[in-house]
Amino acid sequence: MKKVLVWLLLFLSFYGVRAQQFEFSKELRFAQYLQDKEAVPEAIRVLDQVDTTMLSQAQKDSLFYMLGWAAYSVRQLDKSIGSFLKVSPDFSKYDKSRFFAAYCQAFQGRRDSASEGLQQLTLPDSTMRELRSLQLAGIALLKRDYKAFLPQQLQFTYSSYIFEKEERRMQLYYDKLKGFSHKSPLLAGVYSALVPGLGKWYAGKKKQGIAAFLPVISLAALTYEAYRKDGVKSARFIGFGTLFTIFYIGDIWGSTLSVKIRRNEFYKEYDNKILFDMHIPLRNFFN
Amino acid sequence: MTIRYCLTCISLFVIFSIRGQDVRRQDFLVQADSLYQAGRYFDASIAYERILFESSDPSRQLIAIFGKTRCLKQEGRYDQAMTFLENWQAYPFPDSSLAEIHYQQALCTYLGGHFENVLSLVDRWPYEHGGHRPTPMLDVLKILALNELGRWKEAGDAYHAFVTQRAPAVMPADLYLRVPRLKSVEKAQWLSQFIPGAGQFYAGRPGEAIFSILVQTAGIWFAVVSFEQHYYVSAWLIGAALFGAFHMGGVRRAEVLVRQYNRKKMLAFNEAVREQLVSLLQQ
Repeated sequence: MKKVLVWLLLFLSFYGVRAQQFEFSKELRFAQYLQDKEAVPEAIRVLDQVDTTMLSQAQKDSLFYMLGWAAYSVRQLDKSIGSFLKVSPDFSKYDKSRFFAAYCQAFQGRRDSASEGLQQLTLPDSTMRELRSLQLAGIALLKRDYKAFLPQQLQFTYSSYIFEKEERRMQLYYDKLKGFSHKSPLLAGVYSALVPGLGKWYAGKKKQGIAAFLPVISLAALTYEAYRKDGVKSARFIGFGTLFTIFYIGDIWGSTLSVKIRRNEFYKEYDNKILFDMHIPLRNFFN
Repeated sequence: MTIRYCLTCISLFVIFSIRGQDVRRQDFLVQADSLYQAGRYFDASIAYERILFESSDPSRQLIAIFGKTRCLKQEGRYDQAMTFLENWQAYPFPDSSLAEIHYQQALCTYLGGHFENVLSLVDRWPYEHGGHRPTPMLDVLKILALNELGRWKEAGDAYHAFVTQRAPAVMPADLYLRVPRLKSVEKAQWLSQFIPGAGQFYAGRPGEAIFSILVQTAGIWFAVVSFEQHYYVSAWLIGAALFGAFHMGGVRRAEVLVRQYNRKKMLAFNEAVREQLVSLLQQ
């Protein structure tokens, strides 16, 4: 009697575990099915609702990897990073998960975490190590840490068709960013004080310079006309003079700011280029 | 005793696992419907999709297809509904069900604003469901889509055919005797170019027209007076600049106003047609 009961209990336990495994794999297949149908937000909801308490580590890894990937494909970067970082080192796609987590972090501006995550990886082959160097070089450029770029750039062999072009472009970005001349806001203000709009021209915003020159010079002409014909105390002179002063000072102030705006635009343009050239090799290498 | 006890346990276990699977299948549908009823359309659409993923029973699949379509419509995701239904068109369902899928696809296409595609779907009907009479709503969609595209002649023909087919006890007023007369954008621009404010008058906005005339006249007046008083710089930089800016702006504004006028007229006409057609359907 006892023996039979033990066997029955064992059978039921085995059946229960099997059923749970079957349920989990079915959920993954369902999420994959949704992703294949381009219903990614739905897939994320399904994966989010999986109860992880009863799962084995391997199952959790599959779940987090899939969730990370789904979130990445719809640009839910916080969720993607969180999920990719939960994947354990025993999982076959651990390196891929870490690379993509680092890329998402770099994209979000969390550059220190991105480089730390990549540096901690123990990579099996030279191509992957070179890919890591490319990523770290990109992150160094994003941080404007030119000293940190050089050791990574030394690892470039320019021999892999997957990222040879990106390595060359990274070198180019380094040269451009390092060679970017920092213009003086003070000088821009002085130029605009001398000739309205010249400070903006100096800052690299030529059209804005012309657009600033025309109203200021028109108001100057109107003020001068009012002064010449009606005198200093006339309402006409005071009105136009006030307007001219506002526009003149506004242009000087705008010129000092335009230096900073131009610099931010330049950096943003290069940040986009760097992130693009970090992303393409990742997709090509891992897919 | 022991054997009987064990056998009873095993039998109960087997019965409950089989019944459990049946209940689970049934559960998905109940769950999907209750989520829909609760207004949780996103979750309901996932539950319906799960039925499609798990079930190979055509009747359950059809319930799920229409359930998911309802959810997507409720969420305003008409384009997704359109693509979703398109994927099920080639499935070997009974023709009546395929016809319903086809109709739902046309409806979602209309709601999504793809009017040319609505006409294409309506035209495809006889080839895809030859033996099946189209639902009258399909004719309504065709008329409304033609209206939206401004193809009044074809819309009128389809409308007359529809009214004749419905044969109502009291014939409704023929709306197509007075199709909206849309105004010309080019004419409005041309008018504003040569007569300040005329384009705005033409677009049916007299208030804006008077404002435009006043500002442009003020600009010219200021320029002339300043010139006479030898304020040449003011004449040019204030009077002429004011006139020029408002003149060019007036031309562009006339164009915008005519477009708004035409859109409003079309919407009002479409609304009247829609109301009449729906009341005809309900008779």
